[in-house]
Amino acid sequence: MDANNEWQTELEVKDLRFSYGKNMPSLKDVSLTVYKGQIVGLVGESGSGKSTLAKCITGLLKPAGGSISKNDAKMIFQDTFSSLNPSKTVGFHFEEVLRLSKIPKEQRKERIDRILRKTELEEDLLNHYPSELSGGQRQRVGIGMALLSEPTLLIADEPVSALDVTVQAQILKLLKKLRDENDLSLLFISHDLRTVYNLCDYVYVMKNGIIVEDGTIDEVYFNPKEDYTKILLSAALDD
Amino acid sequence: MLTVKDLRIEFFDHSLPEVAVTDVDFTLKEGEILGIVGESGSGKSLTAQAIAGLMKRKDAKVSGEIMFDGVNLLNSPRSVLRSFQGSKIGFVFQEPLSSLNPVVKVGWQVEDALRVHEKMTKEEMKQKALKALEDVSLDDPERIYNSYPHELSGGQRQRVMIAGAMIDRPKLLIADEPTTALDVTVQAQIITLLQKINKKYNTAILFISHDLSLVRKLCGSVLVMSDGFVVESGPCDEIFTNPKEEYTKKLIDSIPKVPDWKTRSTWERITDTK
Repeated sequence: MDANNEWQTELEVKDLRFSYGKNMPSLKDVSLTVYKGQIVGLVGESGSGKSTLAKCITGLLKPAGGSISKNDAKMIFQDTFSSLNPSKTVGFHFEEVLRLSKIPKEQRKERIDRILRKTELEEDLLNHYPSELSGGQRQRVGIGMALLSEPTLLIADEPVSALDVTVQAQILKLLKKLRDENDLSLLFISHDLRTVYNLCDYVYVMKNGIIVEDGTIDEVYFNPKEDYTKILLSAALDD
Repeated sequence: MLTVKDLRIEFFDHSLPEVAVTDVDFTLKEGEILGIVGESGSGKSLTAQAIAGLMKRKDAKVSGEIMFDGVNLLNSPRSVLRSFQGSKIGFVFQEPLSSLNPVVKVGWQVEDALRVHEKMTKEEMKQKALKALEDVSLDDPERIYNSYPHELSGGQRQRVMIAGAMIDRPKLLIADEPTTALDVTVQAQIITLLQKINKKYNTAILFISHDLSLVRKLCGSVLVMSDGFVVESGPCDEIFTNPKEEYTKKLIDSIPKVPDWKTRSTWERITDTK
């Protein structure tokens, strides 16, 4: 992180409220900040509201109250199989993203080449269908699609949970590299506290739609204040 | 109790025959917990399915020997397999929602093994089922008994699966990625539950997972598989502290670590997480 942009805000969420139905609040006054070039972890169990928050930020859901700063966030998902069209090639997926973001035809080839290099994918892969790829390759394609429109913020919703440990390690290395080389900010949603420790600079702990605790990785992991955080940590890390 | 010898599984559903499991050998004694780890496609689930007698497929050729209590399960007819399945060998799979019938109440499904293997009255079966549900630390077994699968949480559903697998007191419980779809806290609870069952009933457990940290928590010994081969095997502590094969080292290295976790985390543990 450069010294001069250390405190520039990439994303600011303030007092965000959302509910799926009457009397079912799933986000209660959630506030969260991501600084430029920062990797922020968002941890919590299923149903805690992590994914709902991500969907609000990217505009997939309309919040009931609060504010979200203007952003160009793109998302990558856990289940890459269901976010890719099984009857279209990888190349088609890339083209479509560029077409939708109104990139002129003559620039597309160059963009795709750059993304392939960034995500460490072979050019040959463009002619393949999702079913012909491994899980790790599919996730790289997902990351590539998200990066095609060159966003400054990436939201990753459990991007490695469905992958093998060795492949997980490769994808995490890739995300780190992307941050370092492109000054990308990342909101990393996960319930895997080991991964969050190794990837993130700052972490928010969420439970039942509320941020119960936040802090730098070292603060939260080695000096947690909330009982809930302690339970999560010992479940994941104690032998 | 269980001896697997030269197990080999080949598929003929493509133009080229594919060997998915090659010469797997191991033994499992009563009350032992053995972990099988490996990446997707390493053959760990197929090995478990073969032991469970679920590999009677026309496009697969299974050879070798699977001796369970003196019976070779591999060349036994279906009727013999049926007498083992559910009564001597219990199974738990990764996705409890797809193993449970969505339109049948949980209680009935937990009793399944008893209905097949034992001659019991309805009332006896219900009592056993309630006891089994209680055994897997489910609160209010009566309510769970009368629930449908979708009314339960992921953790509760997996406990129900374990209750069903354990109801006829099998000597071997095969758990194929039983915690993969669950939250970390619930994962830890299920591991504790498996340990409890193992101690209480001396049930041997074959635990299949790609999560090495869970295997380390639960298992006494471990089998590392890659591309259908057993790469390394031995006591859990030894494999984790002193792996000999490159592949095992790579697997262990890729577990994300929190250095000095034990010494640096001095805060007080909350033990009552059930």
